[in-house]
Amino acid sequence: MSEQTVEYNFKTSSIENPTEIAHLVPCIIHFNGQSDEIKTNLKFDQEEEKNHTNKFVTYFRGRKLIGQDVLKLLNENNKVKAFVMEDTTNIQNNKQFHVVSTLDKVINYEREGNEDRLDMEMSKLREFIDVTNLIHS
Amino acid sequence: MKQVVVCPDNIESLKQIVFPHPHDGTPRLTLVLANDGCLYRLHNTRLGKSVEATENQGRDIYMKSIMVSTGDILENGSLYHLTKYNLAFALCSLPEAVSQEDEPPRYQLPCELQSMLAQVHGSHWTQIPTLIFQNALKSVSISVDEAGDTYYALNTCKCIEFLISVVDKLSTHLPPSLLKLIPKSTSQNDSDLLLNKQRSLLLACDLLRSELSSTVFNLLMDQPSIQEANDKVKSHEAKLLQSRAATTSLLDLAHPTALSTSGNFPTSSMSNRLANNNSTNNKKKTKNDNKVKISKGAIDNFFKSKKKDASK
Repeated sequence: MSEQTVEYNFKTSSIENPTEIAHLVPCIIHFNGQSDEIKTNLKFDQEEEKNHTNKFVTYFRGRKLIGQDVLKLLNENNKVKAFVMEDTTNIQNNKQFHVVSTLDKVINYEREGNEDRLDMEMSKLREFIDVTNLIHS
Repeated sequence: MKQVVVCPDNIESLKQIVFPHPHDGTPRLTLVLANDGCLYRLHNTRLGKSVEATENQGRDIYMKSIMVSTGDILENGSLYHLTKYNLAFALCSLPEAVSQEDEPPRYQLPCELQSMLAQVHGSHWTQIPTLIFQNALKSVSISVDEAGDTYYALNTCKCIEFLISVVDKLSTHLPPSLLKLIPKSTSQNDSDLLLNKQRSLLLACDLLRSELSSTVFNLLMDQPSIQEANDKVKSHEAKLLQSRAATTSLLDLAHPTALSTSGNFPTSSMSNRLANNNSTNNKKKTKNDNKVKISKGAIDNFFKSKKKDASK
């Protein structure tokens, strides 16, 4: 049996200015699929955001969430783009990921009061990328 | 299955190549070859690691899921992103790179070497473009030019030379969280500055631990400059421990009956002594508390002792 190959194809036909947002919410949702709830919920509270510089504020199930854009952090060194991708497997057992949607923001959230944890997580990610780039440059 | 992937702006397609991880040999080093001709490493970063759940269940638990504004819900909160990968690290960790001390070097063309590695270690080596392979080879091998072709042979000294150059670069650019581990010297003493330099050198070596096989890492640690740094830092720490132990014993001598209420900082032995005293006091108290009062009520002494029964 031949080895399985995995390929990612980032070519998109239409989307030039992405507007979609990925929200990394601080809970496990035991579900994979579509939901109508997201389009009407997870709106940003722009009044509250004035109190949190460079952060996003929203509400999920009555809990206040404070988040930071991961893409902005990853963009500091090199310009990056983000996608939601889905895989399809063909007859030859080759896996191909194609773009489902292009993302403008990937926001990592923590509950209100856990902002320190959010800052620490983001700075650790930043450090990890910096060190890895330095080792492999 | 859907996933969120972050990649450099100029990339249009990627092809995945799975390498064995140099550290333990398991096939989990996911490299991707981009259409721009560069080799990247695909990281699966999971945010929201729950410390409590991880401690309770004995495995890593991540409390994050992804909700996309298009309506997609992804239970797995993994974020896939790329960083550049230098293939020289994979070449360094090969047994061929460290097991030819006495043997004469066997020079080969890059494509020959690549097919030899594919035969011995797996087909993943043939999936690497020759240009990337050759560039990585240059930094960890010796070469000879013959009839317009360059022949390469993996060499231990060149591997170590390459690793030491990476260690030197890292030691001057340590991340802030590691810089915190190096004590700031109040005096601009030359010996203190040298000691801190040696500390950062050792921390930089530790950062490379997961990139290399244990054999190569041990070889790196055995290098004179790193060995010297290791010895100096260890002896300095031993001296520090000794001086701390001496000050504690002096404090014990100076305040043998010091109490925590005096406002002085109790030393470890003093605090242990105090803790022991407290525990004995508590024990005494509990003994007193256990005494049961004997009174004469309506049913008291109903069950009489055997001796009295026998006398009757």
